[in-house]
Amino acid sequence: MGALDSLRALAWAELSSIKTKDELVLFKSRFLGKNGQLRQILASLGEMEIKDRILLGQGANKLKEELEEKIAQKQIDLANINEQTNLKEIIDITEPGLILAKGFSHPLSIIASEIFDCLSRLGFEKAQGPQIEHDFYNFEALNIPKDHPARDMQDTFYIEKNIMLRTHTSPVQIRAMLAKKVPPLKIMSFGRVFRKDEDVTHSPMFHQIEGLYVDEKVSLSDLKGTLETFVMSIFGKDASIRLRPSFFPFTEPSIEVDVSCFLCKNDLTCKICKGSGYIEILGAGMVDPEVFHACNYDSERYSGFAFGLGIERIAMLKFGISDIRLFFENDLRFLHQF
Amino acid sequence: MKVSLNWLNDYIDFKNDLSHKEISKALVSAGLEVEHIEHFGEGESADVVFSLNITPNRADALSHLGIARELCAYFDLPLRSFMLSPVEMAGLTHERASIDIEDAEDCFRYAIRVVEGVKICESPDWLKNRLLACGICPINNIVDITNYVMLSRGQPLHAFDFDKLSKEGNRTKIFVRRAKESEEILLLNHRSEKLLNKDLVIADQNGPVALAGIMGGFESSISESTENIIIESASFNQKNIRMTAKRLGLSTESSFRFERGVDPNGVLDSLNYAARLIAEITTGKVTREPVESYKKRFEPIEVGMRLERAREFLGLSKESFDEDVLRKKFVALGIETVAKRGSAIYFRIPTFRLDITREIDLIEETIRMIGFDKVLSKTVGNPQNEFLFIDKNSEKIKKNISAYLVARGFYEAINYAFNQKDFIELFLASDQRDFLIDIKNPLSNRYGVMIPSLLPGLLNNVSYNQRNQEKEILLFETGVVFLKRQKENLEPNQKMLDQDLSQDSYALEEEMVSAVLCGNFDFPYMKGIVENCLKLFNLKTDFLNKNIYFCSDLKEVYFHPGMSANIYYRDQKLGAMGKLHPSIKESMGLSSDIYMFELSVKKISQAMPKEIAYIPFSRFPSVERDIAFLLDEEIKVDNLLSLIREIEKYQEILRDIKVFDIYRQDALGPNKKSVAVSLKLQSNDRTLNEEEVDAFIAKYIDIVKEKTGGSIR
Repeated sequence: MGALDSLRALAWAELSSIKTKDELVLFKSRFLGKNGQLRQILASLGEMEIKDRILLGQGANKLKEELEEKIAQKQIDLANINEQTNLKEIIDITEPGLILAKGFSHPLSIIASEIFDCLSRLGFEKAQGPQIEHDFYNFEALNIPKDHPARDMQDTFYIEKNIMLRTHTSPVQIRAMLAKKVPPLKIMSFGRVFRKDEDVTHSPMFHQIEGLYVDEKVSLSDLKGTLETFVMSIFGKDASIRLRPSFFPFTEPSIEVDVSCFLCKNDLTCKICKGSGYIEILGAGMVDPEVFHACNYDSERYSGFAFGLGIERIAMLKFGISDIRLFFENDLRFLHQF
Repeated sequence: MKVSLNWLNDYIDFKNDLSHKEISKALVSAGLEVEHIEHFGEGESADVVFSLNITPNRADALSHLGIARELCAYFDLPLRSFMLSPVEMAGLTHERASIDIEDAEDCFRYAIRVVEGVKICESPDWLKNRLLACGICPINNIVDITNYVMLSRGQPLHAFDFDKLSKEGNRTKIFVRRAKESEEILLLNHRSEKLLNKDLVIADQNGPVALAGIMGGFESSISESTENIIIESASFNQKNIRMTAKRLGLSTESSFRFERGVDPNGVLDSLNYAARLIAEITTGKVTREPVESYKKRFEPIEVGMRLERAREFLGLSKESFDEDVLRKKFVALGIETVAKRGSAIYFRIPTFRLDITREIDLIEETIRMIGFDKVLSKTVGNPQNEFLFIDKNSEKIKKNISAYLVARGFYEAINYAFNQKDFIELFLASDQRDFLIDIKNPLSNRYGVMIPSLLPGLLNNVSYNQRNQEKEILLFETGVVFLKRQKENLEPNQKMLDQDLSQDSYALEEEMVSAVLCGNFDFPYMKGIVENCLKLFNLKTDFLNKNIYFCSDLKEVYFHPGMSANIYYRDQKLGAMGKLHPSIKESMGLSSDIYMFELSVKKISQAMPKEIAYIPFSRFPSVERDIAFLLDEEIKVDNLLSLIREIEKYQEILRDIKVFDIYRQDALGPNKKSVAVSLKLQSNDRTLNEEEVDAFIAKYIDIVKEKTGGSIR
C-alpha cells in the first residue's frame, strides 16, 4: 500500500507543476505507460500473498482511474490556458498593408469591356476587320458612292487612292455579311477609327463600337429594345432614350439616339446636356436595302438594324473628362484613377 | 410502366406494317420515353414489351388505352372501341349494398357492383400472359381481372369478399371516410397499420376494410372460398392518397395512379368492363345497375388557342402548321374543337387530361403532335457559331495577359496608330523602312506613318512621364501594328473573306501586346513576366517540360544586341524582349534602364495547346536536393541543366531541375560564378530510398565536373 500512496503523492506533485502539452504526454507515459511506474508496482503482485494481491490490485486500479481523470482534466486546463494566451495577442490593424504593385486598365478599355459584356448578353458576337481599308468596304458598299456629299461628313486619311484609314467600324459589317452568306447575323465590332479632326473633343484616332443584327423579320422594335437594354446597362436602369430622325447613308430610317441626362433634371446650367435633358450618344437605324444589295442579301426577305457609338464620348461622359487628348497622353497620374 | 404490343393491338390495328422500332419512335416523339424494349414469350403468345417512363403530368398515359390514344394520333389510325357493359343476370345492386361518402373532396366518385356465385381459380393463360408481360404476378381470376382492367384503362379497382363485410339484413353499407385516430387495419401485405385521421379508408360498420386507393384489407380479401364479391371503382383525391402512401412507405400500382389523378368520368366504364370480364371468365352473375356516389361532377373545360400565336411561338413554318391535320390529331387525343372565334380555336379538354388547362398547354400539345423536327432552326439570340468571325483564343490571350499585367503593376496605355516618320525610323534597320506605311494627307508630320510596333509609342509615354518625375513606369498596350505587304493589295477581293474577315486587307495588320519596364528592374525580372504571360496559355518554360525557347538571333534594332532574345515556340517566333538599345535611349533622352517586350497575339494563339490533358501525379514523397556549382562564366545555365540528360533514364525519377541562385563575387575568382541548382526527385511507383537519391545526385555532379571543369562549392 505504501508504494501506491507514495506514487500517488509523487504524481499529484508533478502534475501540478506541468505547463505544456508535451510535458503532460511525458508524464502520462511515465506513470501509465507500458513501462510506467504503475505497471512496475503491478508487476510485483506475483510475489505477494493472495489477500494483499487483491487489495493492491484494487488500489492500483483506483489510482489508474484517478490518474486518467486528472490527466484529462489537465489537458482541458492546458488547452484553455493556451487559448487565452493566444487570444491575448493584439496587433495594430491601422498599420499599413504591404504595398504591392497594382496596375490599371485604360479607361477606354474599361468602357469597351462594359459594352462588350452588355452586347454579348444580347447575343452579339465579336467581329474584327483591318484598320487600313479599301474604299469599297469603307464607303461604297455602305451606300456612300464617290462624290457623295456624305463623304464630307467623314474627313478621311488616305494611304493610296482607294486605300484609307477606316473612318468607322461599319466596314466590318460589310465584311461579315459577305463572309456569312446567309443570315442570321448578329455581330459587334470594336476598334480604332480615324478622322481628320483634332480639338478638345475630337481626336484624329478614336474608338467605335458597332452592332449589327440581320435576320428575317427584324423590326424597329428590336432595335429600340436593344438600345434601351444597352443604355440601361451602361447608364443605369433609370436612363431612358429618345430617338430622333437623322441621316446616315447606310440606314433607312436613320436615327440619332439620345440618352436622358444622368447629371441633371432639365437644369439649364447643366454642363453635360446644356439644359436639354438629353445627351446625344449614338447613331442607329435599319440597314438600308442598298447595303444588303452590296452584300448579296435579299432585302425583301431580310431586314436588320445597326448602331454605333464612340467609346471616348461615353468615357468622357461617364468619368467627367473634358479633354479627349488625355486618353492618349498616357500620363500615369491620369491612368491610375481608373 | 410496361406496355404490351399485343395488348395495344386490342385498341389499334397496326396493320402489321409497323415495326416495334417505329412504334418506339412514335412513343418517344410523343414524350413517352422508351427505356427499353424486350421480347416476351414464344410462339402464339410472343409479345414485345415496351418499358415506358411516363412523366408525372401524364396520368392519362398510365394504361394501354392511354398509350393507344397517343399512337392513334401519331399514326392517324382509328382507336378501336369494344363492348364494356356486362350482361346483368342477378338482382339489383342497391339491394345488396349502399355507399356513404363522408366528404366529396376526399372521394370524387365511388361506384360498385356485386358479382354473385364466382368460383375462385387460376386465370386463363392469355390473361396470365398479359399480366406477366407487364410485370404483374397473377394471383387468382378476380384479382387478376381487377389488375387487368387497371393496366388496360388506368382505373385501379378493388374486389372485396362480399360475405366478409358487415350487413344490415343482407345489405352492406360501405363508408368512404377518414380513419379514426388510432384505428388499425391489417392489410393484404399482412402488415398491420395504425391509422391517422388524415388517412382515407373504406369501411363497413365494423371498421376499415381497405386503405382507400392504396391497398385492401386482409380480412375482406378474395380467398379460395369467396363466392360473392363487391367490385369497387373510384376516384380519390390525389393528395390524401399521396400523403398516406408516403407516410406508410406503401407504393402500389393503385396508389401510383391515384397519386397522379384518376378521371372520375372513367370510373363506371372500368367497373362495367371488370364486371363483364368476371362474368365471362368465371361463372359469376353480375347484379343490375351499379350503385354509385358522384356528388360533384367533373366537366370538361374549354381552352382556347390562337393559331398564329402558337405557330410563331413554336417557330413553325406555315407549311408544317396545318390546322386541319392538327385538329384531327387533337380529336384522336379526345380534344374536340368546340368553336372558332376570330383567330382562336376553342377546344374541349377531356377530363382525363388533367395536364391541359391553359393555352400554353395546348401549344405544347401542338408541338407534341407536329414534332420538334419541324421547328425551324433560327438562331435569333446567338449566331449558330460562336466566334465565327474572330479567333476565340486571341480574345482570351488579350484579356488574360492584360489582366495579369495589370495585377503585376502595369498601367494600360493607348497610343495613336500613327507617329512621326523620322522617329519611327530610329526603330528600324534601313531595309525594314520600306515597309512603313505613309499617310498621304496627315494632320501634321507628327502623325505621318502607321506604327510598325507599339514600343515607340510606349517609350514616348515613358519619356513624357519621366518629365513628370515618375521613377517607376510600367506600361503596356494591346493594339494592331501595320506593315506593307510584299505584294500590294490595292483592289478588294471578297473571296478572301471566307477564311478570315481581316483577310483582304491592304496592309499586314498584326495584333500585339507590348510592354515597357522602367525603374529598378532587370532582365530576369522582365523574363519572368514574359514567361508568366506565356504560362497563362500552357506554354511552358520549365526545363523538363518546356516548349518555349529563347534565342538571341534578333533582327529588331531597338534592343541591346547582347541583352535581348527572341521568344520561340518550335520555329515560330512569338515575340521578342530585351533592354532598350542605348543609342535610342540616348536620342530620346531617357534616364534609367528600360526593358521591354512584345508578343504577337496571333502567334501565341497558334502555338498554345488547344486542350489541356491532365497527367496523374505521383502520390509518393519527393526529395529535394540543392547543389551549388562553381563554374566559368562561359558555361550557360541551359548547358549546365542539359547535362542531366546524360544520366540514363533520368526522367524516371527527375521531376524538376531549376537554377535558384546565381552569384558572382571577386572571392570566387576571376571569370567565375556560382550557380545553385535544385533537383526534385520522385518516383511514380515507390518511395525513393536515400541511396538511389545520393547515387543520382553524385552522378550528375560527376558529369558536370567532367564536362564543365566546374566544382562543387
